Amino acid sequence: MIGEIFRLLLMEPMINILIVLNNILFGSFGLAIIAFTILVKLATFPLTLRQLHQTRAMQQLQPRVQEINKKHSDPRRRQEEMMKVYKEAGVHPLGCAVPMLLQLPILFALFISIRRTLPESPEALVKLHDYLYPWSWIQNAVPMQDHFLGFDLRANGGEGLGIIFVVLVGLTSWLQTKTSVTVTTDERVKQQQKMMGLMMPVMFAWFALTFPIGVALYWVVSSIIAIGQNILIYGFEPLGINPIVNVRTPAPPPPTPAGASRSGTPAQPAQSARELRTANGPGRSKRQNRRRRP
Amino acid sequence: MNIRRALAVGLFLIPLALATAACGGITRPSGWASPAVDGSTAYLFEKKDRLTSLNLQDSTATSNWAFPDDQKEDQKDIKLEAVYGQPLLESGSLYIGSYGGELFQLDPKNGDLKLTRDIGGHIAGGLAFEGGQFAFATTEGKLYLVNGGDFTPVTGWDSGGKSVGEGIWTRPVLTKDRLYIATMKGNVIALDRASGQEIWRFKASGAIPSITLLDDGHLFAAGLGKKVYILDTANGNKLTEFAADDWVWNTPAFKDGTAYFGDFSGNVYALDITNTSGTAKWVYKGGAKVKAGPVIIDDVLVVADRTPVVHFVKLADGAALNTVPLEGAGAANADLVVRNGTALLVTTSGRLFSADPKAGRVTEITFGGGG
Repeated sequence: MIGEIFRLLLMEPMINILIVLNNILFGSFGLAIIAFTILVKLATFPLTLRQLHQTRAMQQLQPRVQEINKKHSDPRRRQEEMMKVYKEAGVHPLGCAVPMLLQLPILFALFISIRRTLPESPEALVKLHDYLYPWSWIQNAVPMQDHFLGFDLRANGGEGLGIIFVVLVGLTSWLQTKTSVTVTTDERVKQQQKMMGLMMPVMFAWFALTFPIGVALYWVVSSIIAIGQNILIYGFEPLGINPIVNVRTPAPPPPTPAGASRSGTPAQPAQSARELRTANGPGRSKRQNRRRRP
Repeated sequence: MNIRRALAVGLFLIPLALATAACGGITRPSGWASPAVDGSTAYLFEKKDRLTSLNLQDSTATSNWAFPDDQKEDQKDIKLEAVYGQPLLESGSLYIGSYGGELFQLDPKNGDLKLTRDIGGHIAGGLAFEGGQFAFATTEGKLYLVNGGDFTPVTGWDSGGKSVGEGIWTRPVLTKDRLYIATMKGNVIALDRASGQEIWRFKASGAIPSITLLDDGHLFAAGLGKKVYILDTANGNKLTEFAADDWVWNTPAFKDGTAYFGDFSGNVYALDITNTSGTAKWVYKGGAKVKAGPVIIDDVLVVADRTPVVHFVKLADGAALNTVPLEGAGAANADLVVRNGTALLVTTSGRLFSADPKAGRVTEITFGGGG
C-alpha cells in the first residue's frame, strides 16, 4: 500500500518529468538531471529555509542551554528548563530534523527514479515501461541518451573516469558541511561534529563509488545548491561573506527584577538582548504575535 | 543526550538509506535467451550465467554438460553476465554472445571451450549467422562482422567494430549480401555486407529493439513507439504501418503472408503484411505483457505472456483455445522454440516447459544432473 502510494505520487511523476525535461533539453539526460535537481530544490526550498532558520535559532540559544546545563544537575529539571527556553524562543529541538525528514521520501524517490530512467539492462527497460505515462512524447524518448560530457551516466563511480564524480561528491559534501552551522557550544560535541563533518563526505564519496554517475551528478548539483543556500542564510566567515537572508532569531528570557529569570538563569547583557531581539517581539514568532492580538 | 544519540544514529542512517535507495533501483541483467534445439538435445540457460546441454525425453531431461565448468582449467575464471540471444549451432560449433561483451565458441558435444574473445561492449541482441560469418552489435553502437572459425573481422570490417553512433539492441539480420540493423534511436539501416557501406535508412518513431526478416522482400521492425513497420528490403520503403496498443518487443511468427506478434498491453495481433491499410486481421486480448516471441504449430499460435500464462490461439480467427497459467515459474521473456510439434519455453527461473497445442496442455520438463 505504502509502496504503491510512493510509486504513484512520487516515482512515476518524477520519472516522467525527467523524461519531459530530457526532451526539452535537447535529449540530454545529464541536463535533465541538473534541471530536475534545481526544480526539486526550488520546490523544497520552503522546507529547507525552515530547517536553516531553526538551526540558526538553535545555535543562538546555545549559551542559554549551556547555562541550564551548568545550573541543573537533575536531567529531568534540565530538560524542563530547556523546553521552556525553546518554547519562549519559538523553536523546537527537532525543528531542524523535521523538514529534513520530510524531504527524505522525495530524495529516496529521486534516487530510485534516476536509476530506473537509465536502464542498465534490457530487463530494466522492460520494467521502466510500467512507470511511463502513455504519451507518445514520453514513450518515444525511451531509452534516454546515457552519456553526458563524455561520462556514461549508467556507469558506477568506481568505473574509469567516474572517479572524478566520486571526488566531486566528496568535495561538495565537505563544502556543504563547512558552510553549515554548528548548533552546539559544547566543545566535546563540537569536536564530534567536526569529526562527522570529515567522515560524512568520505562516506558519501565511498557510496558514490557504487552509485551510477547519474545519481552522483544529482548529488553534486544538489550539494552545490545547498552550499549556496547555506551561504545565503549563514554567510561564510572565511570569505567574509555575511548572511544575505535575515533570519528570525530567538530572544533572551525576559529579565526579572532580581536580574535573573524565573528559572534562575541569569539575564543576558542588554547588548546581547538587542542583538537577539526580533521584529516580532521578544522571543515571539509572527504566529505567536497573531495569537496574542485580539 | 538521547536526542544527540538519536541524531547521530540518524545522520549515519540517512546516507545509508540513500545508498540503499540508489541501489534499490537496479535491475541486474539476467538474460532471456531462448533454447537452441538439435534433435533431442537442447542448450539452454538454466541460470543467467550457466548454459546447460540437456538430453530431452518426454517430461524429463538429463544434463550432459554445463558451461562454464569450474572443473575445467580454461573455464573456471569465466563469469557469464547474462545472455539475451539464442545460442547458435553452426558448422559443428555452439556460439554465444554475452551481455558482458564476450564471444564464446564451444564444442556442443562436451561443452569444451574452443575460442573466446572479449569485444568490450554489451551484446543485447544475440548473434546472426550466415555463410560462415556472424554479425552482432553492441548497446554502445558498434556493429561487428567476424569469421565464425576464428573471430577475426571479415575483410572490409574493422576489428573494433563499425561505429553506428546509436545503441543497438537488436540481433542483426544477415543475408548473402546485406546486413540489417535497427537502433534505439529508431533508425533501421541496411548495409552492404562486403563493404559495410550504408544502402538505405528508415526512421521510425521510438526505439527499435528487434527486427525480423519475414521473407526476402519484407523486414519487420517494431518497437517502443508502439508502431510496427513492414519495410521493403530493397529500398527501405515503408509498405505497411500498424499502430499497436503498446510497446512491441518480440520476434513475430510468420505464415502465409501474416505476421503474428504481441505487445506490452497483452494484445496479440495478426497482421497481413500485404494489406497496406494498417489494420489487423484479428486481435487476441491476452491481458499481460507479451515479450516472448510466439510460434505457430499447425493451425495454432502458441503465445506466452510474462506472468507467465501460455495461450493457445486459433490461427485463423484469433479465438482462444486454451490458457494455462504456470504458477511460480518466474517470467517468460525468451522467444518460444518449436520442437516435435510442441513449443519449448524457458522462464526466468530456469524452468523448461513444453506446450502441446494439440492437447492444449503445458508440461514441465524437469532436469537434473547427468553425464
